[in-house]
Amino acid sequence: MGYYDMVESCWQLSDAALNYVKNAGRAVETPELWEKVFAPSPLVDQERTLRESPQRDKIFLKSPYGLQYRPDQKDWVPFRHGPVDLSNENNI
Amino acid sequence: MKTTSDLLAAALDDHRAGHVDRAAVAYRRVLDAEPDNAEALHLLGLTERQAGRVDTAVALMTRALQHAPSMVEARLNLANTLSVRGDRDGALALWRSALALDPSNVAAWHALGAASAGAGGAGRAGAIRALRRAARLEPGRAEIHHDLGVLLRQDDLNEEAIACQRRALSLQPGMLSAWMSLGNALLEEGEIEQAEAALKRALCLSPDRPEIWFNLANLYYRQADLESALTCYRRSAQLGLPAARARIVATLVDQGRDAEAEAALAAYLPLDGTDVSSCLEYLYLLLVRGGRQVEARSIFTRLETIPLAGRIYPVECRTALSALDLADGDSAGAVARLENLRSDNCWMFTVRSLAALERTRRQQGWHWQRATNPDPTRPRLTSTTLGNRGRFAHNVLEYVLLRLYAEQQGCVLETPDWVGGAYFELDDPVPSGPLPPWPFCRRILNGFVTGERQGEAPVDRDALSPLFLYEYPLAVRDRVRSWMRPRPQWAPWIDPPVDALRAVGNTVVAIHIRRGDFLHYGYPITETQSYVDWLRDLWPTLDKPVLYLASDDIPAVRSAFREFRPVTLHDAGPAWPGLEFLQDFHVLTQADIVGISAASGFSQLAARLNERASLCVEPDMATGGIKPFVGWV
Repeated sequence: MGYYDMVESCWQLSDAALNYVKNAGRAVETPELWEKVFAPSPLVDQERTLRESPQRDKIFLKSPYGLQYRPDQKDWVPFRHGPVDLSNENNI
Repeated sequence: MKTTSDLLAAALDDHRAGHVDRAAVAYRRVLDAEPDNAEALHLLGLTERQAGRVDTAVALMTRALQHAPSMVEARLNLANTLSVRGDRDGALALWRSALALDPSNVAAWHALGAASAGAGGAGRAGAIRALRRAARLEPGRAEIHHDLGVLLRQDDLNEEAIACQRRALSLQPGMLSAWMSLGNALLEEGEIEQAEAALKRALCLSPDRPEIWFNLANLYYRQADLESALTCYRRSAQLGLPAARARIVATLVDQGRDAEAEAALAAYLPLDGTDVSSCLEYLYLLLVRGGRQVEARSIFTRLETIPLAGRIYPVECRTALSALDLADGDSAGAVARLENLRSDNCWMFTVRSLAALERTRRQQGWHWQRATNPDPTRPRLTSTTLGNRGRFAHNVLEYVLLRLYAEQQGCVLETPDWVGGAYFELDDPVPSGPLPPWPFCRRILNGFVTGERQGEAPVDRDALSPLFLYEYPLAVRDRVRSWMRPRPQWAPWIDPPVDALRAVGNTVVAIHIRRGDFLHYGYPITETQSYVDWLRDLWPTLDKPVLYLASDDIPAVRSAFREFRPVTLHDAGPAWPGLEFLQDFHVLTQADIVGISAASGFSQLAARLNERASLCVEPDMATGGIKPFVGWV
């Protein structure tokens, strides 16, 4: 899987979180999202997230990417936490 | 002593302040000391781009990235520069790599979205996805909402497109292109007053923009206010938009001001940028309408070799001559005149196909007289574009919407000569007289047909292309299929290929692969490998299968399917000269399994009309696989 595909997966997880909130029709706290959306996802690095993000407002994926919560926009936005090697175009 | 960082910071201040030359000198000085300084290479590249030296800019930024592959800004700037140079693929790859480094980079998502929609819609879904992300990341950027709105409208998501343009305008009330896009989207919704207000606001902001006058003219044309439309088209042409010239001619033709239309043609045809193709169709119409067929022959024969707006137009001229042959009863001559021409021209397609059908009819010796309006007291509906905008399936799909609307509103549907009208057992009367033009009516027709729109439905109009249903309701399937039955007289040409397939197999699998103009116009391209992989799984489960391949480029696609020993029209029966596409179409409507070419109206229509198929499939452009096609919902 190339890096761009990993970025795509990360955004899809963000979409899933937004859809969950939309379908709930109410304010959803991050622990609930963690339990219902993020923790069940095979993409998520549970151990690291539990260790480094006690508020669960930063979700680390097993890829070099993750999601962080932006309270002002009420949105989960991707970030990068690991190195990427772009020396080989096939990696992208 | 100043460090490299100090020098770069000072140079960047100069750069930002607009002292580009001074900044470039400083960047060069840094590079003299440190030839591999990635920051200096990148920034010097920027100054080169600003100076218009794109190749040098690309070389410098590429070197910067070799030394600092993680420099996101350099990737973005190199991508933008490649895009300017026309290297779209190179730019897309760099924007993606920038996102691999910084997955929430707004500029990268925005640029990727703005650049990745192909002209024919290939990549539009991905482009919309990218722009939605950019809008989420930076909701306060008007340009992003505007660009997203433009793509959503192209994707028929008009209401959301309107919301996007309104959002853009709430953030940047002086955004000219957002007012223009909003006006056009509202016009499509039939919100005329609001559309007019939006376009007039755009004009207030920039009264010398010809595109806005053009769009306002379209609005008046839509309202059948032809005088106002003419005024605005003329202003648009005066301000330099060549596309307005053909519209001026069209409006004069619609007003019956034939002499003025002819004078306008004489003035516009030699000018660069004129839509000569459309203008020659209007010239034909004017000459025939004026009973000047002999003169028309002489004019189009002469024009065949005379450059117009910089080049010659033999296809259009020969089509005009062929149409004259056909009207004179010389169908063989009409066919011969167009026989060796290759072109995407829709008018030529219609004339050539009608001539070939007429030649067959004459050879078979049966009589065919088109009906006249049986009840002139009833309201009428027509579409003069049915014979010259789009080709076979395009026209059939437009006819479906027109007829559903006409029947719902109690109108007599009058049609010009068109290929579907001759091929299918249709008996619509010929136009009994001109009707006011009705462009941009697709959404309104759909609204009435589906029942979503109430109120007084317009009638006595000439509904202009494009005119497709947005969805094909199951409730009308059998009615539509009952309209689209080939005339029995064509059976000697369309049945043999089907019979030949049935003679060698029990399960006819017909796959259509469209190439031709799809490559040129950027429509989604069906990868043969997707179908090959799908067939490998399916084939062993079928009862004595036989594969039929339909394509406008059989030599290019046939070998990919060789393990299934594909049959083509060439192997399956005598070709119907000039009408081979109808033979392919008939096989697709009779097959047991139909494979559709991505975004092809031709095979989608065949699948919708096929009453026998147990399975219809189409390429899944998102996954690269094959998915079921649901023709009626």
